[in-house]
Amino acid sequence: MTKKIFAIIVAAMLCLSVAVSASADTMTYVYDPDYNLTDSEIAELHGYAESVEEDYGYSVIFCIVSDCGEMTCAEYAEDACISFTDAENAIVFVHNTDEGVYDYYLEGDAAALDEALIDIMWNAYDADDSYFGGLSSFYATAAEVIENMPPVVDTQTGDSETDNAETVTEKADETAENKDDGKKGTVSPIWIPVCLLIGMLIGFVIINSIASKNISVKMQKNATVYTREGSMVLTGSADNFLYSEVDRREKPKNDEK
Amino acid sequence: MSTVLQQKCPNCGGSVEFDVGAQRLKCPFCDAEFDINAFQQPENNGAGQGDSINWNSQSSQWALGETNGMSVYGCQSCGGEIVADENTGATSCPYCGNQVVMKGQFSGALRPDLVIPFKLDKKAAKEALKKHYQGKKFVPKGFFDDNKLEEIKGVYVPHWLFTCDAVADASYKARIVREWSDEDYDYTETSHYDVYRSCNISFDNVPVDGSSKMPDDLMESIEPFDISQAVDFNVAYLAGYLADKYDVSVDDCVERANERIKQSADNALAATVTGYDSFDTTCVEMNVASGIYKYALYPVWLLTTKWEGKQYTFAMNGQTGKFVGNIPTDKKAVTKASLLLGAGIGAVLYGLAWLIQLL
Repeated sequence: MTKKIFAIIVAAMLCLSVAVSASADTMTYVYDPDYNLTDSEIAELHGYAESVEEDYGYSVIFCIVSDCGEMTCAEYAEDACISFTDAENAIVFVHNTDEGVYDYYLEGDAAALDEALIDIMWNAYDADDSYFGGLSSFYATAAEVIENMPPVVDTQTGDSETDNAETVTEKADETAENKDDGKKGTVSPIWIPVCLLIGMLIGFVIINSIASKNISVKMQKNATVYTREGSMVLTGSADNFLYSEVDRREKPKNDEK
Repeated sequence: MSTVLQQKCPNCGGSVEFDVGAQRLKCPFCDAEFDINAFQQPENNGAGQGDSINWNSQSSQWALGETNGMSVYGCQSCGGEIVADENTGATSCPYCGNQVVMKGQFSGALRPDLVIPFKLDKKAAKEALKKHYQGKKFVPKGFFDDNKLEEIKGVYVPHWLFTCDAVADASYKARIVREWSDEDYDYTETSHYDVYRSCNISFDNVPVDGSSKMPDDLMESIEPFDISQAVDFNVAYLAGYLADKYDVSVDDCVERANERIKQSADNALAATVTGYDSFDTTCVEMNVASGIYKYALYPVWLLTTKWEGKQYTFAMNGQTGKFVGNIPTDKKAVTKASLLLGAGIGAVLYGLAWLIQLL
């Protein structure tokens, strides 16, 4: 019986670890829900994106969609960044094919990219008539752009060597905020020992409550079973108010959050 | 040498025993049954008792002090010498197996007021033991298979029964908590009260084990006994069973009865403190009025098993069938199961956390 339980638990943990690693390993670099690209083309483009990430540490994601729903392209790009990657640095482009517009979202050090560099990457994509050709050019250009990227501006000192320092600083701040949001899709491994500890406590309580059934000899706590029926008569009762005290706690302000 | 009493069959002279099913005395040799009242005062009835052979020892076989704490009796059937604990009231002859009652142990001031006759027999006790084993987890490997039933005996255990009218009063510190909020603050108002309650409450026949040989927790665990089925004491009920006279005085037992009664009175008073969010008991006092006590014999089946050189004692209420007895626990198995279950629950929790995040 114990062996069976052990086997089941080990299997469950293995499944869990496989699921976790699988979800961590499967990255989406090219998102194409409308099937503008073939599977082999997507696989090839993924290869480009992976090499960019390996070489420069940047996730470069491109979404070709016909509809962004209620979101703008920029919001869609931010959402895609949260959903598709855990990387610290990411560049996410979204092309709305129906409306013929595009926008982007930059994560981490990618915030240092200015509009001119963004335009270079977009133009590389837009210049080719086919999606596959455009995206191939896009990834090649992205690799060059990232390689020659300007250094990240020091947001503390305010020193800036670029014209768009302010923009970069703002984006860097936004990126820092978005970083926390970006972790929504994952559970940190630090929770594993916490979950195990909680599990151990619950397991200990359950198993010991089962084992306690082996003990049936104990002293009686009272003699209630020998109380003469109807003999309990309340002869005195007094409830005297002494004092009251009020504790006042300030509510947390929303802007303090 | 002390004298013993044997319930003899008027037909064949065999030693009769109390029959649980018929609630009468029965001769195991000729199957004759007799009413308990027929054996009401056997010491005054000289006829029909069969042989009356007393084999009294002529020489001083026991050294001085050697029989301290023991009593020596002569069996009226075979003349064998029965050496028993000084508190033994009923036993069997080790030579001929005849059931004997030590008359002096239950006469005069030592005579019990009541006895609850056995309602369940040895077979029921054996079955109860098997049932008791069922469903028990984390028992050391081999305990159920190798654990041998060493002894099973029906024992009348002496109990003191306390009946009283009690006057109890108690004081409490109680609190009512009210919470509300406005735009900027959360408020908690705690109102404090001084609460007093008093009551009259009566208890009937609160039992306390009067035998030092019997573990008190074992005896209290098989409670309650239905005292309404108790009958006036008659030595005939002891036939076929073991019995001890009390060796813990009523003065030594009353403290335990008071303790249980006071706790019950406390519970009853605390149940009347209502309308508060919380309260603490600051004082409970109890006075016992018109307290009386009785001496009774309660029927208990004691089962002793042995496993790996250690004895395990189980007890069954000979009237209601309530069965108790601690079964050993395999601590390693408990630890292992706790860890395995804990790991499983931990994995599930972590998986759920992932699912929640992904959704």
